[in-house]
Amino acid sequence: MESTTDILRERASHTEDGLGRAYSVALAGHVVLIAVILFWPSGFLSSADTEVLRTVMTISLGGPAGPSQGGQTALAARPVQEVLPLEEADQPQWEQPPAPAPPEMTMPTPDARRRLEADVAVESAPDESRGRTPTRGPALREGNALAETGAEGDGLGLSAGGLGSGGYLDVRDFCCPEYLGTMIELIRRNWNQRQGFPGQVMMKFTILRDGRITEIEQETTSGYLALDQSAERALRLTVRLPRLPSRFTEDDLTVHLNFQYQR
Amino acid sequence: MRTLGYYAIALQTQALGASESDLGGNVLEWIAQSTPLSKVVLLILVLLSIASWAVFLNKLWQFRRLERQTSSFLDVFRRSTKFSEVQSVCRSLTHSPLVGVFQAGYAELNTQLRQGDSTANPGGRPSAAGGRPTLRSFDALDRALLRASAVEANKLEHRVDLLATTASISPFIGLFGTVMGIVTAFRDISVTGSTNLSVVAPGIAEALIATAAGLAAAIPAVYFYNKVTTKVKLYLSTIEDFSLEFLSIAERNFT
Repeated sequence: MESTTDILRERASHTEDGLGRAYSVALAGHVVLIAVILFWPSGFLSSADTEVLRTVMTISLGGPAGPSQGGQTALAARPVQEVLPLEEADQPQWEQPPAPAPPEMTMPTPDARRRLEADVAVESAPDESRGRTPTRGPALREGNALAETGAEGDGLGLSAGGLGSGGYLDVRDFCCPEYLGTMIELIRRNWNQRQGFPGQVMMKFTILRDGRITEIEQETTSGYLALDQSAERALRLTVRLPRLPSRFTEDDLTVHLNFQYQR
Repeated sequence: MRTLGYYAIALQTQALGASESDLGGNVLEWIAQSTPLSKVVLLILVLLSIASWAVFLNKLWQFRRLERQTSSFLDVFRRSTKFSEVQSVCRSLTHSPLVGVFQAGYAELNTQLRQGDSTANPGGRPSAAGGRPTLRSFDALDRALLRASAVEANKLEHRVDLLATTASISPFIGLFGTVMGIVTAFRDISVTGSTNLSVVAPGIAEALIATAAGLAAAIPAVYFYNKVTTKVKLYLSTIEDFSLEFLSIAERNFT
């Protein structure tokens, strides 16, 4: 018969089995979990919000005055000496009718009555005499020519120096910067930067494919109702922008536009 | 002048595109780029996490087996009239802590009874004796049961300390990794001389992974620790209850 101490010692020395199995299960679980985190399709850590997936850009109007407002040109850039000319677009020509047969020679009637001369001297040609057909040919017009200026910025210098007319752009990899130029110009026409108070208003809106501006929202306020309203008014007045460029493939374009007011 | 503006836009677009692809958002890249120190920190955290999960799973299985065997042991114990019947069942129910307590108490009882009345009780059947054997020392039996309870409690609490350790030190290890990572990130800023967000942000994001890993290891461990200690307390009270029951039976029959 065993004594009590023997029994207790035997019980204490009897270690639990199954620890190895538990370790292998835990290890396998961790491997699976870490693999899932690392190789999650759309990035485990980034949010799956559709807003992020859409092309969203932040553009600022205002800021330091550029050359068009009497300020400096951008840093590390030389003024443009010569603008590359626009290429003449191939315009479709009308189908021309065949030339009519030359008229036959006729003799004037010898005893025809003389036509009465006008009593008053004609000083300018009457409206009827003006040509109705439009004239064609190269004409000076405002366009979107890209210029090779040879200027090289160091990145920081350009953003610090402004865009020539103030403001900055965070456009990710948007295909068509020239569209943004048009957009900014059209909105700027309806906007008065000088309101007497400095301030910033961040607006968000969406441009549909046909150029309509929708979903105008105010993201941050300047603290002054007048400035907020002025920014929203600029967008509401710019009812329509040009169609989104065909190179831009998504359905709509969401823009964060920062209106910076100066005194 | 507007054309110049467009050119600037184009340049900026390129620059932003480049920094965006650097950042990536891929955890695997971040870990691959991180310093050896933060890799070691992450490795320690993963090992701690694995250990705590393993201990918890092991305890879970152990407790499930224990509960099953304890209930069948108690069933046998309360139905039978002789301790020797119960003793014969014990061999198949070794995982129950009550079995250890019972065996210790039974051995002590046997020893005392044999010493007290060796002629009346040759077969080790204390309750079946004709001349009503008596216990010599009731306190010794109590002590034997107490010793057995202590042994069983030690077995129940074996490796639970690992859960508590993981729960308390994992966040600190992760924080350590993060702090060292941020120190590295700031040194990188001073080396590049640029406070651009695209220079600073990846380093800090990479450093924060360590804290996240520390929390991921600690949070389950806290839950496991609480779960296991609650269960252990429950079993300890069961053991206490059983030894009192054993004592009172012994008192009824052998004094």
